[in-house]
Amino acid sequence: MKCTNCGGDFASDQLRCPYCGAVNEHALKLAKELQTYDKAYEKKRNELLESGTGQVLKHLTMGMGIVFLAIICIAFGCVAFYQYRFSNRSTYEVTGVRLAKNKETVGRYLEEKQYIRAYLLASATDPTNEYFQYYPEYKDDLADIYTYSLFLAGVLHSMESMDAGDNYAPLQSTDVITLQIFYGSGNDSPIKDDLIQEVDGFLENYYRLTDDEIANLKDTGSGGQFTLEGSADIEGVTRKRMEAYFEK
Amino acid sequence: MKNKANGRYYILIVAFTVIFFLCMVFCFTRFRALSRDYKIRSLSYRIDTIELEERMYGPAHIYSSLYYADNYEEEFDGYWQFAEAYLAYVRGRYAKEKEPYIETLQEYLDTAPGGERKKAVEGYLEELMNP
Repeated sequence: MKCTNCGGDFASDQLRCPYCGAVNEHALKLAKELQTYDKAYEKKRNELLESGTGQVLKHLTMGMGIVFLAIICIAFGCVAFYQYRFSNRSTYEVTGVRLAKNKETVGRYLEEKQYIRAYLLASATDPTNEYFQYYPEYKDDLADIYTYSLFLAGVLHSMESMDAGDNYAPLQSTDVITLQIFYGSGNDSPIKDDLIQEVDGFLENYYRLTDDEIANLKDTGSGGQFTLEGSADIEGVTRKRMEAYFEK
Repeated sequence: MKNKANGRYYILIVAFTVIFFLCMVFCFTRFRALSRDYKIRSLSYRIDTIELEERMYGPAHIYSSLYYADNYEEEFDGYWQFAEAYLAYVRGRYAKEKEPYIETLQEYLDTAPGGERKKAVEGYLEELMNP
């Protein structure tokens, strides 16, 4: 093109005339327009990018939410099933056919005088945990066997202690409470009679209580104050008696 | 114009991830606790335990092992037969009338297969017969 100032030839996209330095108005206008287009393009590009990222994030969030929710549901389902099927005293294990079989076995153990084994079976398979509500026909006997087993555990501990040459482990106050519950349970059955005979035997022959004192213990009832030789110190009195008897 | 919804998605993704891991940790710990509990109550584990305790502490410990582990199943019949003999010995030790307990021990010895338990009951019988 020709310069409007000096008439020299130069390329139309040059901003100034190379001969006189006059401004090329046409090129300047084009440059300004191009700059405006660049800004609009940049703005549009950014908008599109933001919008695209938003779409990706939206789908990612929804996808993650659904997948996580599905996995959480499966995991909780597995735990719930495991809890139902395999937890201690689960209803699956101790109801229906299994309960009928367990009841039959408890009855057989009681007939065979395996009292503690019967109690263990009923205790381990009763969801109510030692109240034997699933075994109503044996409930009273099993409760008595339970208190008897607590007393027997004390006797065994005491004998072990004595055999090991330690101090004599006498009749404990807790044993007296257990026995008061045992004697005062109100159950009247041949099984209870057997157990009473054994408990009386331990009290008389091992803890050195007299027949009158045992009768007195039976009469005090649950929560009553039981004394030996006028003293509430059951442990002290029985220890003295055991030492005197077993060291003869 | 800045798209403000993107920030919410980031927050949601982080929240989902945190909740997911918390749920997974809960399920894992609960499942592990249930598994351990089930393993301890399983028959094979209890049989192994009572065998080990018999070897470690001797036959006199059998009754306690049976009692505290709720070993009532028929797989423990042999142990219960011994436990009954052991309890007869305990009852008979200081009883005035020892004859019924001696009979119980004798009955056990008639059918006992031998081994440490039989030797132990022989000892109990001797103690009851010669107090």
